[in-house]
Amino acid sequence: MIGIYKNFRKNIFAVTLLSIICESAIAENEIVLNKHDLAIIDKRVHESFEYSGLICNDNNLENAIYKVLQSITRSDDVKYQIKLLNNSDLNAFSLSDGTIYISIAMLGLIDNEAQLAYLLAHEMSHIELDHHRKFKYELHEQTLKATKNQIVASLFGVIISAYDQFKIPLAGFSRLQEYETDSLALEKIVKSGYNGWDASELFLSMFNWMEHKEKKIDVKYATHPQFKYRYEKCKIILKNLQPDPGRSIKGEFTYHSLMQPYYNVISNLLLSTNAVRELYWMLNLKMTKSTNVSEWHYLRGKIFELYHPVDSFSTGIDNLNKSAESTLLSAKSYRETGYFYLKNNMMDSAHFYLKKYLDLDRDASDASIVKYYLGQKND
Amino acid sequence: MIKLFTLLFLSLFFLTGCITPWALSNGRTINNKSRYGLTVTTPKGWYTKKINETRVFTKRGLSLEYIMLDARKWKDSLSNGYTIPHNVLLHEIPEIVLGELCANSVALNMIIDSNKIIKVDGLPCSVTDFYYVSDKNLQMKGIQYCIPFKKSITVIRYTAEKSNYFEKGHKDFIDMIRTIDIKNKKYRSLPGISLQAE
Repeated sequence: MIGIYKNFRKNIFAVTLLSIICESAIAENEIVLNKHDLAIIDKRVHESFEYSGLICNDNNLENAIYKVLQSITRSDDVKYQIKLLNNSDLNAFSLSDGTIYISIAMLGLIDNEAQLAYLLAHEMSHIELDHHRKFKYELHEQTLKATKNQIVASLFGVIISAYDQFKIPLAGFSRLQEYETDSLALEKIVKSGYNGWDASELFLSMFNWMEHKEKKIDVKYATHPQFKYRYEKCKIILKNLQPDPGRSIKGEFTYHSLMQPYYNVISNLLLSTNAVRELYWMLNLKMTKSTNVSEWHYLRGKIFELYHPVDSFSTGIDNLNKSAESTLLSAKSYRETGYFYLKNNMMDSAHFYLKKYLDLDRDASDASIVKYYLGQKND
Repeated sequence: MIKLFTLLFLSLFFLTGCITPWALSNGRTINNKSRYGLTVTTPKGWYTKKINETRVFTKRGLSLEYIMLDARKWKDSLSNGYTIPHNVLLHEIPEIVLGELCANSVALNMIIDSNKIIKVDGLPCSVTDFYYVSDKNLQMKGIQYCIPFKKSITVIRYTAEKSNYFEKGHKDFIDMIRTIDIKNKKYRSLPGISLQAE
């Protein structure tokens, strides 16, 4: 026992040393995958998204995006395909088979056709530069820690499924690969006639979006370079590539008018994930009142109801009342007005609006909840 | 060579000592009023483990089915970074708590099927049925009970693979819910809900 104790510090030191060796062995690495492996990965990703129900089938939007894609590609080697994801996160990524997945929220953030072209060119560049096959990855602090722990554990037979842990760093390309892709993408769109300066402002929008996010990602955990650095890098490249930052925008369609109906969808997606700050930002900047006045008022009212019920009570109620003027929204506007009053302990007004809601929609799925609150009032 | 084996043995010895093993639940009562605000009899024949502060039960593996007993403090941030607003309505709580699953990519395409308010041992409680697709691509079905107390919300959640496993563990879960005994009836003052326990 004494022997064990004496060696204890030595053993701890040995385990730590072993983990450091593992760290240095994997901190910078390159995986080269073969075509067969890539095909399996692509298939699994497709199946996983199909199964998750996140795929948004909208031919109109897909075709419009595909037209932009065609205008920047000169190669027929890869057969590109666009797939939209019903997701409130900012995300776009490509697979080696030429499929480009874009989240609806990402499309909502984009300001013009040049930015859309840039996003597509970026994903196409990953494919053209063969990044999926020659996969360089960096292990950042968080993934490094997780992987190191699992490797040490798996060495001693505690956890057998080390593969599951090794796939952690496979979540993103290296930052250098991202910079490389940014440069090629800029070159592509400028050659195709788009304004690179307009396009590069996508990084500013993404930076602002992240600033408005309630939950921020720590820079050291991010797989991509910071947006402000990418923006600065773009400016340096554009000084040579397109010295005249003229504001002419090439575009067969006006991006905003195409996207207006979808801002509504995005806003509701954000609401459903409780991303209230992002929703507030989206309503103020993108979803203009002229598109759908009632929906706009409803969403604004809902924001105030959810997160600013005391400070902005009258503004919230005002917005909900305005949205109730629309026949389509009146029932749920009354319900939310009732809940808003309830939250502010104004029971009589709450009772009035909740009853109005039940009168309009007797078969509502949440009727039992509303009746519960009404019953509480009667108590 | 002997030194190497000694090193490996000791490292294994050291590491296994750090891991809490799964224990077979024999129907004992969990009586942790300070954390959960209630006592509950655990399902017999299920394996149980405490992961951080969360008590988890499973019979056929965590990815196929589990019951979770946990408490979320009002003031603390949830794991998705959101905090529960101070004047939340009872029926809004389940969605906020389930949001943790979605944000951590454990659950995709979360659909809340129904949400209602019932009484558990005389106190109002929200009960939510939901569906989602797990990170292992399984169609999951779940029921979640949320009971708000002064300091925290007690969350009891049963989740299982929808087609083959949900029904198998459902009865044990309902039996478990029936044993809930809320000794400490310090109910949280929520808008629209009578404060007095009945």
